[in-house]
Amino acid sequence: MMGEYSDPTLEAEFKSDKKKKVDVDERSQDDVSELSRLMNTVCMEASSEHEIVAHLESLGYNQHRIKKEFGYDDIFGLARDMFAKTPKKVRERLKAAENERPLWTRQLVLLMAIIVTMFAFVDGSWSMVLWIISWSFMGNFLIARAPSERPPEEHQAVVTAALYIGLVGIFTIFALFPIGFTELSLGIFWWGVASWTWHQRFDNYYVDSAYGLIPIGALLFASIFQAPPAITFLALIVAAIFMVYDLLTPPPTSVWKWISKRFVPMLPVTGYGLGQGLILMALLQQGSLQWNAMGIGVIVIMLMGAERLVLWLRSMLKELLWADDVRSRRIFVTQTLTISFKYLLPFLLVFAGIFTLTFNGWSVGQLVPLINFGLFGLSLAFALGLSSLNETDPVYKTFFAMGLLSLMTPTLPLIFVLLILNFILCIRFLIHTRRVETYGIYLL
Amino acid sequence: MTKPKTILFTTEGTYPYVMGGVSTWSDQLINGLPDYNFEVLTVVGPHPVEPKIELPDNVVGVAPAHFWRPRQNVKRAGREQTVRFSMLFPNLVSFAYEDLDSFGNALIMLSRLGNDYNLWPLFEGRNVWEIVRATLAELLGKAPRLGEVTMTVNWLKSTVAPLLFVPPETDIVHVVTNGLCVIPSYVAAYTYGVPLLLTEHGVYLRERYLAFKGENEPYSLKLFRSRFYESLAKLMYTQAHCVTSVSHFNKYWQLKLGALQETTRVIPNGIDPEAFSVSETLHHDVPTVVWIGRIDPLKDLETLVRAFAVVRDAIPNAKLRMFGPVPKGNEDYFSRIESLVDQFDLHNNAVFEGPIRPATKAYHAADVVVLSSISEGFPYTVVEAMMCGRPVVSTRAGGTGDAIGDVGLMVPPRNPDALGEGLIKMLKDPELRESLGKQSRQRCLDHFTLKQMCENYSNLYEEFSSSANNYNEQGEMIFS
Repeated sequence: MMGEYSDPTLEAEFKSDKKKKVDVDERSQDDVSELSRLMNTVCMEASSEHEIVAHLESLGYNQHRIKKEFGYDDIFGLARDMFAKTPKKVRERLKAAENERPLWTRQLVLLMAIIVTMFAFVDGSWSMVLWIISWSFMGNFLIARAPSERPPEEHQAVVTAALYIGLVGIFTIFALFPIGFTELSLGIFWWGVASWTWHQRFDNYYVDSAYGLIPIGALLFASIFQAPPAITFLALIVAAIFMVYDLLTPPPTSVWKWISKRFVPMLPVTGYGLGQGLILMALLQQGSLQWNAMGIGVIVIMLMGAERLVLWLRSMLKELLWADDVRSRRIFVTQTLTISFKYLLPFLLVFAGIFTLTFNGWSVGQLVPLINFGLFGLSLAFALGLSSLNETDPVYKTFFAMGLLSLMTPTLPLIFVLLILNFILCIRFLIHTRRVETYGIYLL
Repeated sequence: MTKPKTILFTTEGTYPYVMGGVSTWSDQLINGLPDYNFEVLTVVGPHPVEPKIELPDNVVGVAPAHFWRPRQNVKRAGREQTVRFSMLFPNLVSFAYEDLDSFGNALIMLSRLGNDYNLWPLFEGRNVWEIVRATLAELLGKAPRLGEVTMTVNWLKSTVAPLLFVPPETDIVHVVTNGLCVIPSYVAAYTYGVPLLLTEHGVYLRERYLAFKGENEPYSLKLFRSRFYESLAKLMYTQAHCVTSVSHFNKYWQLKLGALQETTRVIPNGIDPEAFSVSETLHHDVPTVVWIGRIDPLKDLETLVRAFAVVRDAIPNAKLRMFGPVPKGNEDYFSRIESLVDQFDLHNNAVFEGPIRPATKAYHAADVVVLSSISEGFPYTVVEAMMCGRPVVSTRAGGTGDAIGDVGLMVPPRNPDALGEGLIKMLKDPELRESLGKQSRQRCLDHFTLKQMCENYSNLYEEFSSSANNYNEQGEMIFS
């Protein structure tokens, strides 16, 4: 028959030395047990005898050899015996908690940049701030999607494309709205900082941290030493160029095509940024410079530990997933309540701290602008927690809706908007942390 | 004039997006059967892909089916679809208990649902999570950790949900890998009542088992996946109208996994005789052994180098020329082999020469061609060398016996002494080499030409597309 296997008539002559070939355990008298021991890990964790056959063959055991060495006519029969003889002993493979460390310079840069930007824009045009916030969320969205939707060689091109979009937006706003060079330079500076947060170059914690000293230096130079506007402008632009220098090769057409297809799903994310920007605008327009400074201080204190707290929340929930005594959803849900409360506690303490000012003679009514800042900070805590557990859509929609509502602040007190925002997000947070089936995989 | 028949040709991770042995075979087959039209469906990973092979005119459609990402352009499932999904899902996981009927039915029903609706979010429901948890508990004999449940649900969602759809209608369904591409293929054959044919180059399930070893996933997930792949393979082996493989070695596995003797055939790969001509120089001044292939642990180059040390001791001027690329990820293995060459002081005798084109140059440079693999389907290297009239010394691995038959020398795998002595025997006997070389060429011309391979598949398509016994009296499809 065509192609039919037949035993070759020619055989190489050689001396078979079994002991030399197989590093056998001298204790054993049983060939199959010897072989099972030789393939101990495979046999102990085999899912079926077929798996043992596959490994036997890969070690060079075939029908002829097992017949000769073990007397079996069929390799599947031998594997069946090996499978039956070996007790199951499975090595525990738990996903260890990742040692995630936030870059301290990144936190510092972001906080300093927030402060400088808020003060720079408080009396100026908000178009640039709204664009930068919305664009940074758009960029985050694209970069988060890229690993699952684009080939690895295009990931950096996606970051570049996001930067191109940001730059085009910045100059469009500069051309269309009455904004000055300070706002433009801050816009470009933010653009550079975003590239750094999206693209850590060195894969080394310390070097990446040190790289963040560049924007910190630029900000210090610009804000503390009160350099002339032209020099400040130049310093921020140079810092931005340092952050993006290796990212400006034009992205391929395929990346642009992909982004155009992602335009509709990106709209809610943009709405999220827009909503945050509008609320921030309403906050900064509600009182004097002194209240704004204190309010920004409250937000900065809350955000300072936010990244660490989010990582803590994730690692605690992850530990729970692998805990030996948490093997049902009911136990998991009970324990998430405690973890959620611990996550929120530092934010709540900062918020409660605002009320200590009443000891200085201020009434609660007078503190409302500051309470509003605190409520905004709390809403960010809920939003960060939810986003880190992959619950993004409700966050986007709620922020966008509340942002639009905040435009009505002359008729509707801002505190109501912020209370509604926090109420919705708090309920979402409490419900979502229970639903391990929807976010569990994003922790592993 | 009759309309040409259309074949739904399904593969996984190969033609026309990824180059490799199965892609070459698919390209040869499709080009060799111009009277048939082919609708190609390839299961690939989540990233966008572009064809790497020029598609002939008889490929009337080509589409990737991406797993690890939700299907695009489908509607959001509503309440009615969610309820239907919840009712069908328990049957889907019946593969864990080897209930092939329920599993097969679930694939069909869920594919009809998934054809129009996005099933991805439905796999994130609490009921799915609890059913998987209960299934794992039964498989393991104890409650799994929640992390294990989470990973298992995610694997099931990402792997299966995107493949639950109904492919376009064709006259025949030809599955080229017994893996994930079985899902849409099985559904198409059942939906349209057309013949379902399977061709395997390697045994997919066997390769899955070997791949498990390198993964660091929890045992529960491995067990779940193992049951899934095994049930999928068995479903195909038992339900396909015809199961073909490239070697009897593969057929043995297929029969062990449930394929029926009467529906299982061997159709070996073929090559073009004109592309692999016999060179005039049969014997070289320096006794030369040639190995050709990719540098990979499955090729067991360690044994080859050790064997050649034996050869060098007997024939000091013998030379081993090794041709082939070092695939990504195999660099360490290559370094190990180089160190072994140093260790045996073989620098002057054993040389790595990298990839070579055309491969005939390498074969023509050889007195003997060697293969030291521990695992093979139906090795092209052996057949190409034989077509070039070169005698072969090979380990008895996989389908090498089918190719060589009784016109070459075969030795046990992982045995350097045996391989070395086989090579010495061949190198020292020019008459034996010449005689085996001639017989090898003749064996290839008789059994392993491209023309024969294409004719075999053409006959297979004709046999099943015109056969009335695919249907019962009600016109429903009969599976074997």
